[in-house]
Amino acid sequence: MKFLCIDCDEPMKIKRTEGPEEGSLTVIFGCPICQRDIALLTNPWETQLLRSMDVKVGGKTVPAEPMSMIRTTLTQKHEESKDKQTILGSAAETQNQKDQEFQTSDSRPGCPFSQIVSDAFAHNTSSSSKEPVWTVEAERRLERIPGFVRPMVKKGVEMYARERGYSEINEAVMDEAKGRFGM
Amino acid sequence: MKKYRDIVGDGGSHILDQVGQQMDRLKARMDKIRHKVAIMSGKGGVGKSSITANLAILLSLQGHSVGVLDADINGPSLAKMMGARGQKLKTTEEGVQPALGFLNIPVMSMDLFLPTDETPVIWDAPTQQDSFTWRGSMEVTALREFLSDTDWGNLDFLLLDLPPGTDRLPNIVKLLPDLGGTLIVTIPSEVSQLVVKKSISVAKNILKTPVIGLVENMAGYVCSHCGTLGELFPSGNVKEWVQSLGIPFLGKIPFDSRISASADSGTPFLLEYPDSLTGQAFREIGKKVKEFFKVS
Repeated sequence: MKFLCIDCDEPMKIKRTEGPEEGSLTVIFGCPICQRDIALLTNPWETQLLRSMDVKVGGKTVPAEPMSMIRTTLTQKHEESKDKQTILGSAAETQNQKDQEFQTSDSRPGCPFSQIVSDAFAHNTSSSSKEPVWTVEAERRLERIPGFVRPMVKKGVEMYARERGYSEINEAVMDEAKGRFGM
Repeated sequence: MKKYRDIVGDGGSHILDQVGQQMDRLKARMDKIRHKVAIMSGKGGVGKSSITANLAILLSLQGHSVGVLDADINGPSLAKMMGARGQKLKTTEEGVQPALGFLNIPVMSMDLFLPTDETPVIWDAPTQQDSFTWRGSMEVTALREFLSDTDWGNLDFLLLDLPPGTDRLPNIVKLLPDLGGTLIVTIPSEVSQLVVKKSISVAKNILKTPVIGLVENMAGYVCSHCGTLGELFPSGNVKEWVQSLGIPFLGKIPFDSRISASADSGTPFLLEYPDSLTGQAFREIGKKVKEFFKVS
């Protein structure tokens, strides 16, 4: 899909992306000549189609992990163990992995995020308040977290930000949330 | 006003770049595998997985390095048949280490990701409503990840057990343009042949993939008491119609209840009953597969 500024007859360029929020991804395009901006708002099926291809609009900042789509999208899956030689993240993340390897299901016992995630989903369905927006730096940091725990971390941080009325999730907010969750 | 093809690039979405990188990664992995073989039918319940497992064991026994990929995302059974069920997958810098089945044959299957027998494959999504719009894409990506992210190592053969459906082979050919051949499975019933003929058309005429030949499975049954061969299905002349389509007939495999019993007990059928009628049939088919690839 390409976008053309009709007045300038000039291809538009991606300026930034937001979301996905409630299944919708926002992609802002701008005309390099007249500076007009437009927003592409995807419906849940279009968002899911992108997700199914394991691609990110604007490009990924870190290389994909092996089987990242299966790991992050299969709702109920087996635990996966990691060899010692695998280097996937910081020491804190590694500790986090020990507790949460390959688990995103909120039905698993012993997962510190289980209640947070289910609360976050419940909150999403009942709340009409504005969702906090991720800064680019925070989003990049999120991408460095192993794929199989990333969705839970994302939901947890978003819930933390919502509880405090933060409109933006930046690295400082991530640090705060990290302290709370004992990561 | 400019049209789509007048505009160079994708405005910074980098989607095509990412897809290109995925395919590069797939090619690099698949370059280490000499022969990729799809075992297909179009019809369900004809014994594709059983033939895949036993062919893998046969080739391995004959000294070839073999891997098996269960391409049936929603109804995986190969991990069970290969004795690899319940193994935990490990990730190393080379990729995801496959489970090891009989004779240490590497196995990759969605079954290895599912926590219980009852767990179906459900993909996380904002809503499961109208999931038909994206489910197929999920399944193709899962297959691509199985192929490209599994540390298969260097193999002589990678056998892919395809699910039923004439639409499955095009997905595989898209991922594996150098697919070495398709092995098509039918049973003697006319209903099966009706569906299998469509698969042959897709493989041979539409996709123009090399067809190794057709196997007639469950061609009679072996009596467990006296070892004689009896009729299981009313049989048309499968060999004749297959050859009329220009497809080699690879042979008949009689049904032998000891195949499933062997799988359950954790002993490969071909190791336990190498000289049974069914074992001999597998050996003959394996020989023709190797002749097709000019492998000694």
